[in-house]
Amino acid sequence: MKDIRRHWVLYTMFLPVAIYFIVFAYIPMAGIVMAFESYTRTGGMFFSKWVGFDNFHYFFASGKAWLVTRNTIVYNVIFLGCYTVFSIIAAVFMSEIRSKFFKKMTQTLMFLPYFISWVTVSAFVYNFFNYEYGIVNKILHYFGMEGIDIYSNTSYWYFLLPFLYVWKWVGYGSILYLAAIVGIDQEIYEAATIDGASRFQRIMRITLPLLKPTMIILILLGLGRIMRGEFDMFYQLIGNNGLLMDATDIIDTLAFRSLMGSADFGMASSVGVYQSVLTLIIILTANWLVRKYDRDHALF
Amino acid sequence: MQRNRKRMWLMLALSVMLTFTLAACGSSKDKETESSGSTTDTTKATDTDSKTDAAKTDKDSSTAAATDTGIDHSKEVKLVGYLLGEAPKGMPEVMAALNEKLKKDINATLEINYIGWGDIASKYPLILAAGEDVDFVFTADWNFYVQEANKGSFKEITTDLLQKYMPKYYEKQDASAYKAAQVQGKQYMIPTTTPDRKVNVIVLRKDIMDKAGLTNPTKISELEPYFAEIKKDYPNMTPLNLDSQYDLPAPFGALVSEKFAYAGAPGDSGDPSGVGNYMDLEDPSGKVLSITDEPVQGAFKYAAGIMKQWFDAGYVNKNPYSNKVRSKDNFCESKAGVAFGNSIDIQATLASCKEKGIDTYIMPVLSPSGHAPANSWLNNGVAIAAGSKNPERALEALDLLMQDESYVMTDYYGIEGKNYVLTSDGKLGLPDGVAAADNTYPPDAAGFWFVNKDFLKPSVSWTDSYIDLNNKVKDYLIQIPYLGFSFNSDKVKTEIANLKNVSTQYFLPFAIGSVKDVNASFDTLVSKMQAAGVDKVKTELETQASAFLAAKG
Repeated sequence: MKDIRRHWVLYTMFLPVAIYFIVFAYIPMAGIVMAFESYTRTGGMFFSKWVGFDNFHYFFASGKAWLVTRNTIVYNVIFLGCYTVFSIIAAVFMSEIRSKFFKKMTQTLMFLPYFISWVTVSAFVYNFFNYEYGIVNKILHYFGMEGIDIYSNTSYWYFLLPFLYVWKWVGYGSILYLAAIVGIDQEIYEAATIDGASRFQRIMRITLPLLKPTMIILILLGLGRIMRGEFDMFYQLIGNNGLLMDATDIIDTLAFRSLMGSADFGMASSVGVYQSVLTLIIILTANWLVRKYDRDHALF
Repeated sequence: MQRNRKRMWLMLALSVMLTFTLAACGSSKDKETESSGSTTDTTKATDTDSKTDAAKTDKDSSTAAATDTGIDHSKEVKLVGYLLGEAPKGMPEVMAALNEKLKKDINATLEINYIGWGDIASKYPLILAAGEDVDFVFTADWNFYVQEANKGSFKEITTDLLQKYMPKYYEKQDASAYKAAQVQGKQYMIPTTTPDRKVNVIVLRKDIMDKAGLTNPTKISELEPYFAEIKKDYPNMTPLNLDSQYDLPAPFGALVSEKFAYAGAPGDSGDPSGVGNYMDLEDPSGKVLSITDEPVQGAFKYAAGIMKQWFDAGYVNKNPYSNKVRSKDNFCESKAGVAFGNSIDIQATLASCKEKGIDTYIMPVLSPSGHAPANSWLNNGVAIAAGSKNPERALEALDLLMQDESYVMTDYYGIEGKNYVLTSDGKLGLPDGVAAADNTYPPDAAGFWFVNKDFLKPSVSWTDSYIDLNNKVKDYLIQIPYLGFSFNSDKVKTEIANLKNVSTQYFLPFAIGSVKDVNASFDTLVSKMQAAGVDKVKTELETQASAFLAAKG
């Protein structure tokens, strides 16, 4: 209490965030009970029939539980890796650019895809790669080459999905890292320059090591989303295309597809609970690992 | 300290206020976008009036309850209905006309909102579950009727209610329709009094048929030369330009129908016949068939074989999953070589082709015996939402909208002189200077499919072949043993969920012919279906089906 009085400004600043999380994260947590109920309109969220783990049954009986869990994790690890690497590279480049105009220009252009929704992106992709009249195939035909059919071939997607993900998010990520770079004490660079360090050496020896704390925190935060597939992306780009599904099905799309028609809220929440539990385990493990090796940078 | 605390409370109050104003901004914006999508026509003033009134009615509904003799209309109410599809451009004017009448007759105004075709599966249950401001909603056996009724989303409809509030309807309706609409012994739907008389059709272009040397084809499998001709001479046209929803299983279904009377439910519906259990619709014993039983297995392999040939020959668009445009909607634009539809919804296509000077040929999709199943009452209907505040008034409004000729002409055809004219011989025509393509309120487009269709008129734009087809439809239709049967998937929802998933992943590629090997992928489909529990669904389906047949006698 004394602490609150002394730092009341800080606490007030924290207040909106606290309210946000209480309203949108902690209160809805009570909804977890729905995963164990057979939801009816009259029973509502808390008074429907209790069915225990019945709602979880369908997910594991689908025979795809392991496949989609693996896909979700693998895709997200690749996404997170590519996103981190490319964001850092972009941020470092950006910090080394001297021309202000060029810098602002690239930043804006890189940031732009962040505002485009996946629905629109899927329209782009469709018009680029559509077999009958897509731009790519028109160009290939022009040079007398065979057209490609990405919608019945899984291999293209292993490249295309991470590429699109990076394209969309790298502008956002690079700004986070750029902010961290700007925060690095300029005197260190000056000292290094005087000592005769080349630009490359300055990046490798000063910028990157000093970015490590930011990186660890952002990765740990990113791990929190690792079980939540990028639903918009997969759903919009792949949709109901059965041929691609073994390679591109994630937990979210599987649940959406199977439960769409039945609108069974209990079964849908069971998938959410499954994801949350796994996420909790992953975060605790990752944080434990970080704490073990680098105590200062752990989240908690 | 004291001062600090005061300041803190001030800050808190401020931030709370800010949050609320922000929230208010957000929600009012929401409302704006919502109403721009919907179609209220009442002016702002009456709008708010009716809202407060509705609230009032709600408050003192106990005291204002109608007496037995008459129905109390003293409180004005605003009713909200949800239909499927999209609001036609001319909707505001039509709603104004309807509301003028409704206000006079039952002191109510109506607002109609639409659930777009692509959003039905996600939005329809949500609107009902959220207990949003909704009084009545379109429902049908193919549109979640049984599932939602099971969940208690609809208000029970009793004979007393119908007699009292829907006298016109009650007089017209066949008693067995009520029985068909029962879910676990209770009726929740107000089914149409006039089940559609329609068959699925395939529309071809006469000019291409002539070039391909095709005269009077009756089966889809005979169309190979037609497709080849398109591939050769029409580089911008895809013979089978399928969309992700309706068209995708359509050619496959038509091919299977050449072998036995196949229902061909869409892959993502809860209907078990879409996902692994089938019936020969004309088999009087009503035996439930697995995919491995004959004639299903043979017919499926036959159909998939042909589809694969066509797919490999480039007659099918490569990615129908991402295509949202139905073939009937770009058929006249020369993008699709074939239009799929039914004999009712294809009218607009035929009319606009006629205007463009494209001659069409219509081919009904029939079973080997030359028949098509008659539609059940449940094919189109309307239900009262469980959360409706004015169910009685909603029923009265529906009675007028469905069974009063002047209302039906307005809600189905629009405004006379603007959207349609009646010719001297009682046919429906377009006013001078209006083309079918720019009619702001095309017939059938507004989603009032549950109206009494005996009031509908023949159209002057009908082509001879369409009139011919329409005359024959009666003879094509037969009463199938399972007319009016709807499966209650409550006990097997786990299996149904998994089967739907299998259907999307393994059945759809099989049906459009994009698989590498027909036999191998058939075997995969079978094994995946078995793993998903198709046999359990079959047992449940057999139980319900035999109970249905026994009750029918």
